[in-house]
Amino acid sequence: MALAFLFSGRLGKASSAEALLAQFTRSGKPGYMAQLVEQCGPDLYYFLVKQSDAKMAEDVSQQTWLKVIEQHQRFAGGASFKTWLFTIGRHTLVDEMRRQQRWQTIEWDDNMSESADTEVWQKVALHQQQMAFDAHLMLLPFVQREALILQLEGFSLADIALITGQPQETIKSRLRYARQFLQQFCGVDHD
Amino acid sequence: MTKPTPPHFTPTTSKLDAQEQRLKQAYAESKAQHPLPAALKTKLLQQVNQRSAFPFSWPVQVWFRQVQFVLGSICLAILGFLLLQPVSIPSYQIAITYQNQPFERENHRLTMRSLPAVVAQFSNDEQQQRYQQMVAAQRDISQFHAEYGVLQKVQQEWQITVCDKIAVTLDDALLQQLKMFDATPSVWQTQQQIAFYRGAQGQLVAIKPADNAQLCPVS
Repeated sequence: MALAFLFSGRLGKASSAEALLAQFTRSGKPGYMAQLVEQCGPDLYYFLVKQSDAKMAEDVSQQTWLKVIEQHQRFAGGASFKTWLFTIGRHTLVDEMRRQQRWQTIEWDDNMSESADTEVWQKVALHQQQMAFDAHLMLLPFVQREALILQLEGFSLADIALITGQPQETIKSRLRYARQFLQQFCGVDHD
Repeated sequence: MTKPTPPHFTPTTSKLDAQEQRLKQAYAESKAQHPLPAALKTKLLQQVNQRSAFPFSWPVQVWFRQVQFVLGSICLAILGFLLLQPVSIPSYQIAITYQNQPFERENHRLTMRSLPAVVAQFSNDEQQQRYQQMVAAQRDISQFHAEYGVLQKVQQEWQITVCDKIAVTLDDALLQQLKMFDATPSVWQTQQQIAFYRGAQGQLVAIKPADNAQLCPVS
């Protein structure tokens, strides 16, 4: 907190993430990067924690920001800074999961969205009344969950396709499944 | 247990909006329950501070890169300049004239050609070939047939006269090339008895002082 205060006090009001990164590139002052951490750090952390666990989310967060600091000159500006940040974050997460041999099942998840639903639906049916949004979210396959979180985070379809490296049609399909699932069990459509 | 079938319905716009709102609200509530841990935030900010300043502050890094670029450019320019510098490549020429037959006059000279160094690098074959011939000649000198004559300076030119048959003139550059026996022409006698050797093309490959005077046939 003290560090954040120190940085923000010296550099004035926050501005857009892209402007902050440009100022950081020009001046090299760590305060600009600190403001970026303040702005986007919580969003990235939430995405990571929902896709893994708290420990891995912390590790991957650190690795991701380190890459941003070291490779900030590679930011081309074709997409928003946040899209670029999440792209790096996701790649780092996937790499880390592969390293820990937790990725194989996740890749398989994408294909089981319809056929293996039964097991999930059974679980859900048992706890239907008690389950909150979080728990339902965690029942979604990795790739559907990530698409939904990214959309709720405010990313466009094109951004999500960029972050995940998948075609937009695939993303649409994942979003449709995820939303149908949540609406069914979160009672969103039972109004 | 069978898979529950999702209900089919056609939601109105307002219903869709309400659903979206509820989803967003649920998402926001969930997000609020998982804030960026304070310890992680502190770590990240420390990381930013350390990494941004290491190993140099940014302007120094930029300055360092610029210096690297300038030095690299200067090195390239110097290398280019050196490669384009003209260098002299000698080429052996023999001109034979017959003025009063059977008297033969041979004119041996090394002509210098000026070429850019980078081109000369690929034009050294001739010189290398001649050098190899000279080395071979040195090695096999005893196997060559020696010709005897008198070396003298005639009107700023070196000339070997073989009896009244041949006059071989050679320029200073060629004579320098033929210094194979540590004999400096300047200290030779005014009329030095010499033995000379020729290569396959008739070019001179060696000259050395001779102890014996040449024997000319009586005409």
